[in-house]
Amino acid sequence: MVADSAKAEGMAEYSSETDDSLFRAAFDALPDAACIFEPVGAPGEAVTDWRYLAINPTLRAMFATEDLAGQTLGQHFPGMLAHWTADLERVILGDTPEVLVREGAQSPTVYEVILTPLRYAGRRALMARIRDMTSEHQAREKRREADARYKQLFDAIDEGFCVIEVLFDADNRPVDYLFIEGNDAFVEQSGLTDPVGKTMRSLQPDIEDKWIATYGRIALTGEAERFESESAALDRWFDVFAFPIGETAPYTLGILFEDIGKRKAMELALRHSENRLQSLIEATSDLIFRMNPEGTLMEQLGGKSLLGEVDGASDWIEGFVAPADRAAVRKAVDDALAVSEPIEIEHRYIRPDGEIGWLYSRAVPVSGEDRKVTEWFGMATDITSRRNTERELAHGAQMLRVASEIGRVGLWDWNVETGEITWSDEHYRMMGYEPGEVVPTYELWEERVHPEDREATDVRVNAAMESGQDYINEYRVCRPDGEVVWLSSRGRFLYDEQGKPVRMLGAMIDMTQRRREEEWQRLLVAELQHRVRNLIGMVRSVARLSAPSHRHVDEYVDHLIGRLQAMGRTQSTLTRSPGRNVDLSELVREELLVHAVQDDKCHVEGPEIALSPHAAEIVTLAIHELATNSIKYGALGDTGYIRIVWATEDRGDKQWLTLRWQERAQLRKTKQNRKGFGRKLIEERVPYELQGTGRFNVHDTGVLVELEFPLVDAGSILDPRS
Amino acid sequence: MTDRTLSGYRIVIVEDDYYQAQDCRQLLEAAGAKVIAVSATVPDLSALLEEGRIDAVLIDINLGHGLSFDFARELKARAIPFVFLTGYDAVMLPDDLAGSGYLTKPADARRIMAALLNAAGGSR
Repeated sequence: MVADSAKAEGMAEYSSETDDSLFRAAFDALPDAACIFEPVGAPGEAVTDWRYLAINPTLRAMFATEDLAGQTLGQHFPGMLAHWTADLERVILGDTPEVLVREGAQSPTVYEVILTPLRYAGRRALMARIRDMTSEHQAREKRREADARYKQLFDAIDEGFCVIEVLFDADNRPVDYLFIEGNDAFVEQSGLTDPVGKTMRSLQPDIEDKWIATYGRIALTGEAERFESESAALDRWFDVFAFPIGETAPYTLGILFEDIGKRKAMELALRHSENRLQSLIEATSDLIFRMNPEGTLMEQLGGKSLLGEVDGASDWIEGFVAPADRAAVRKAVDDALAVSEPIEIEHRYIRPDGEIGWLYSRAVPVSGEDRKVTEWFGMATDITSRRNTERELAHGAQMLRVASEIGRVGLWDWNVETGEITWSDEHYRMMGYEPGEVVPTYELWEERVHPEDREATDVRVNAAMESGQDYINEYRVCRPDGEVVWLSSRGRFLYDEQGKPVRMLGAMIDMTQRRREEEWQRLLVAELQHRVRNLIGMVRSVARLSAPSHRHVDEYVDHLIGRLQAMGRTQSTLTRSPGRNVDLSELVREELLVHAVQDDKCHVEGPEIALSPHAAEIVTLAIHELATNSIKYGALGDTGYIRIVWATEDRGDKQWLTLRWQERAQLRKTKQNRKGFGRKLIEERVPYELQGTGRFNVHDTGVLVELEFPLVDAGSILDPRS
Repeated sequence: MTDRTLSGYRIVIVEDDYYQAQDCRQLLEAAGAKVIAVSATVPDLSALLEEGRIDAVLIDINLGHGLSFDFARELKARAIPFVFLTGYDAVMLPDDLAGSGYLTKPADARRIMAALLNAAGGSR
């Protein structure tokens, strides 16, 4: 159109006066509406109207009018005259073409009006070419609006957006790219500030080549690409959509992108987590399962196939749990279900091979968004061997405990490195503690070791620790109640690879009773020796003292044997119940029995009296002597009668026995004045040994003997009280 | 027995058995000794010493109601010679009296006198 108008102008300049008809034809053929005006009046002074010199068919059609040549604008379009006269006058005076755009009277019509000054028939004139550009104008308006919307959208989107131009080197290889546009989100998404007008490499020299290569490829091929990629230089992950803009290669690129670092990190974490979980499920020796919210159906997710086939369709408690434990398991599950808390149970189960094993199961509830349990997730481990070991351990421990209790063995376990010591209950008791009363330590133990045994005990412990030989020791322990007990202990140190003692185990038993018995035995032997030697000494003395009163050997022997037999009887009484007191009544009756004294010839009467062995020995011998004498010379040798009576009475702080032997004889055979063995016994031995008195009187009616001595307890050193 | 080796010796017998005490007294008197006391229990030493010196004491260890070691210690403290005459073995002696004169029963007259002479030897 520019060329057309230039052509028209040329024709107007150079052909108007030479070929009017040619001009006319061209004028009429113009596709645009056109007309030629000349001013009515003098331009610049007083132009009152504009006269049409020519008006082409297009204009005539546009305004729906006939040929108006020779008529004026003001005649037909007074409004237009007012509107246009200033413009027309300016152009004609300025002699310079102008293009004006005006809205038509019937808006939204828009016209483009090109005013060209010219000469027509020697007069100054003006050609107006009018083009209806309403649609063109509307399109432009729309585009402007679209552009504004685009810009608005461009800045409103969260994704980064930019337009770039890829820069190529001489060999057509992409080397960098230039940012032409960038939206507000660009900065946030890329971390690059103020990019427009700058190249990528100037913003980030370390940018990876792959970005430039990719954009170069798109710029050359025109094929859009979508990809995710990481930029270490920008320390970001991007989700990118790059597309070509324009008609020909190399294209400008539009790039829509998003920093997906966080998303990527979460994805990666999730993937790792899933991988780990999967690995765990595959690697575990446990059974991983899920269970329905009611706890009845179970499905194996992975892990070891402990239960064999799990179809997940029937009640697993009925299917796998050992009958004896079903009720307990059901209750545990129901209890956990009721409160949506994790289940943890150990129970017996039926193995695929039919054997009964032990299972440890744990399940946690998985809740949906409404906090309702949607399923249970859990694992189960076969703990049969652990349970068996525990049972064996418990049996072993029980056996050890019972055995050590029955055997009264105190056990200790000393951790040499930490100093921790464990004592068995019996060990506590042996040391005079209630079980668990104190926390055992080496010092606590040593504290109760008898001071005299402490050093030797320490030496033995150290020697055993250094030599590796068993620790063997007998020592005394002083208990707080004052009791001293003997303990026999044996122990052994255990060592680590370096030979360092780490532990000591040991056992001990209470030796006190055995020690006591040994001591008792030693005393018994000594006492026996003492008694035998004493007895021999006494026999010797009795034999010697018996001698002077007898002229005849036979008589002497009879007397001696009688006395020895009486002594023997005392000894056997004492041996029967060593250390015990002897019943006086029994003693008297036995002695009378030995001498065959008839019951009708004697009267024995007295309260129950317990005599010490020593007093018993003397009283026995006294009765023996009196009975022998009586048979020979007194009442028993005849029709006489004997009364033996005794009583006790308190004298001062002691109880005294008074015993009376009284004979009533018809006849007196001999008058006895010489002090014989029996009389000496009564008159001298009783005061000497029993600290009492003895009276021996011979009356006409017979012998009267009175013994008095204090009653004391047995005086043997065998008596544990002495 | 007829030699009067213990002539003039003043001796105390502490023996709880009457017969042995009498036997012993006869033996010692036959040997010329003067037995100034025979006791079944530990005697009052001070009272005896008031009556005169004591050359030797013959002591039974077991006096029925107790042992005579404390009495022996008292004698030792007063430098009065003594000899144990006992049915027990010498091991029964406590450590501080371990070296004392000692006879096991039954002991004949010669051994008793030898022991007493040995014990009392230094004092006369």
